[in-house]
Amino acid sequence: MPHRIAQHPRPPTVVRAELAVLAGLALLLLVAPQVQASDLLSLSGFGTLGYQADNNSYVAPTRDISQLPRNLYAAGPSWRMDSRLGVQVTSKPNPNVDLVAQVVVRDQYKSSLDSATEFAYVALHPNTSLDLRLGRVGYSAFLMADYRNVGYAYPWVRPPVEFYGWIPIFSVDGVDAAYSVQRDDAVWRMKAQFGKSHVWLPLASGVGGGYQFKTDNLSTFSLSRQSSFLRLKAAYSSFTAKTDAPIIAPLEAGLDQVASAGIPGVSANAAALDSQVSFKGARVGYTTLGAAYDNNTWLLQTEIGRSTSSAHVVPTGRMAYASVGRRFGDWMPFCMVSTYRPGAMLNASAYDMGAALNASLGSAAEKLVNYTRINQTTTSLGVRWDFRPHAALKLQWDSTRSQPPGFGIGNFAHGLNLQSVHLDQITATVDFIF
Amino acid sequence: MRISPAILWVVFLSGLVGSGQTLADIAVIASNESPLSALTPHEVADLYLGLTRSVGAHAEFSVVVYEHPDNSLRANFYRILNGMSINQLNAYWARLQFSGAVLPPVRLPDSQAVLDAVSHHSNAIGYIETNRLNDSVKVLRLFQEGQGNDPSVRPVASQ
Repeated sequence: MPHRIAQHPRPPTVVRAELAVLAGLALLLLVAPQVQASDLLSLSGFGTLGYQADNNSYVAPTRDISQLPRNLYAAGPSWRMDSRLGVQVTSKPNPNVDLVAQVVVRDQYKSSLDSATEFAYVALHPNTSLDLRLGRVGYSAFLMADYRNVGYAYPWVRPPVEFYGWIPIFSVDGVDAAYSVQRDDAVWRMKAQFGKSHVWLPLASGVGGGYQFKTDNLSTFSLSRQSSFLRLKAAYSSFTAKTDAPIIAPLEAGLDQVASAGIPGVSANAAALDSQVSFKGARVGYTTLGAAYDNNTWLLQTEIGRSTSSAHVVPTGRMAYASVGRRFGDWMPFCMVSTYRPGAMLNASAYDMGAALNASLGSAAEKLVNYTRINQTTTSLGVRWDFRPHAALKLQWDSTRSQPPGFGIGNFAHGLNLQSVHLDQITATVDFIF
Repeated sequence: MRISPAILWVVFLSGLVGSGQTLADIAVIASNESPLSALTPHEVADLYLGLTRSVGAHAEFSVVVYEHPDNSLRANFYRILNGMSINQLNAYWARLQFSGAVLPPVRLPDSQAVLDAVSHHSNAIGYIETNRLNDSVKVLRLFQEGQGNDPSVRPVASQ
C-alpha cells in the first residue's frame, strides 16, 4: 500500500496502556496453565510477547497492513508489532450448538472493540457431517488466515508477510457452511462462506485520516483434505470493494470532470482510467493452494496464490512461500522463503486524454496506482523452543528485499518506492496459550 | 579410592529405574449402553484429534470425547497412539480451537472423573489406565505400553 504521510505521536496515556498490556501478557504467561474451563462457559486464549528490531532507518516493517508504526518508518525496536493477547469465550448450551466469541488486542491503526472482535458466532451442528456458522467468523480463503494471530500454533514469529501481510480481510460478517466426508484414511471438507468485511487501514493517514476498507458480496469456496501426514487446501475467494480512499478523491474528481464533459474520444478514456484508480467497485479475486506436511520430525509448509482485480489500484500479483522445519525434541530450527511478485503496472498513456490531461491526470494516476505495487522477497531463519507445555520461545532473523517501483509491505520513507530496499530484522517472541 | 565399574553400573541402572515413570496400559472406554463395540487406532485418532464426530458404522451417532489434563497419562496415550508429544498436541489444538474450526475435547480432572462421565453418557468415550477399569464401562480399544506407535494415524499436520 502507499506510504503514510503524517506522523501521529502517541500520547502518554497510550504508552501507559501499552505497558499495562505487556504486564498483563507477562502475568498471563505465568498463570496460564492454572486457568481452568467450566462445562457451561469456557474461557481460553492465546498471546504473544514479541520484540522486534531492524537495521533500516527508512523502513519500518509491519506484520500486516492494518498496522501503523508509532513513528512511521523511523520506528525503532518495538514491542508493539507482534505482541497481542486473545481471549476466547465458548459456550455449549447443547451438543449441537456452540456460541463462540474471540477478542484479540493487538496493534492496529484504529483499535476498537469492533476491530478487536475476531469471532462472534453461533455454530450449529445439525448432524455429524455438517457445520453451520452465523455471525463474525474467520476468513477461510487461505491455509492459515483464520489463525494468523495464534502464534503458538505455527513455527514462525509471524505468518509470511508476503503471503498474509497484505490481505485486507481479517474477519467476515456472514455465514459459512462446511460439509465433511471421510474416504479411506482421509477426511475431505468442503466449505462455502458468504458475507462482508471492514477494516481500517492507515493508507495515507495524514491526508484523510486513514481508510476504512469495506467489502461486500464476499464469497469463498474451499476444499481441504486431511490425511496421515498431509493437509491440503485449495480455495477461491472474491469480493467487491465498497469504499474509496480519501487520498485518491482529488484525482477521481478530476477524472470524473473530464469523463462527464462529453469530449469525444477523451471522456470515455477518462472514465476507463477512473475505474482503474478507484477502489470502490473493484472486483477482487484470490486463488490459493496450500499444503502442510508433518511426520512428527519434519514439518514442511507451502502455499501459492494469485490475486486479481478489475482495478489496477488494488495490488495484484502472485505470491508464494515455502518453509522447512525439523524437530529435535523441544527444539525446531526452521527456514522460510516468501515472495510477492506484482502484476502489470498501470500505463496511463493507454488512456489517451490528450497531451495536457495525460501529463497531469494520467501522470498522477500512474504515480498513485503504482505506489501500491509489491515486489518483495523475505528469507527467514529461526528456531522455536517449546520450553513449557503451553509456551514457546522463538527467535527469527528476516532478510527482506523490495524492488521498485512501488512500496513493499510496511512503512517506507518517501522516494523508496523508486529504489531497491534491503532490510534485516530480528524478532524474539514468547507465544503461549491458556 | 577406586570404585568398581560394576558398582557404577548398579548405581546407574537403579537411577534409571528410580527416575522412570510407572507406565500403564490404556483403555479407550465407553458406556455399556453405547452402540459402539470397538474402535480402530485410526478411529480413535480421528475422534481425539477433532477430525470426525462419528465412527463409520455409526455415522449418525455423535461421539463426545473426554480428555485429560497435561499429565503423564495424556502424554503416554498420544505417544502410543501416534507419537505426538504434548507440545505438538497443544499446538495442533491451538490451531483448531482458535480458528473456530473445532472445539477441543472436554477435559476432566482425572481418570475417575472420566470413568464416571463415560459410564453415565452413552454417547461418550474416554481413556483411562486399565487397572482402573470396572463393570460400568466397556473397552473399545486397548493400547499396551511398549506397543509401537503408528505415526500415520495422526491425521493432520500439527502446526
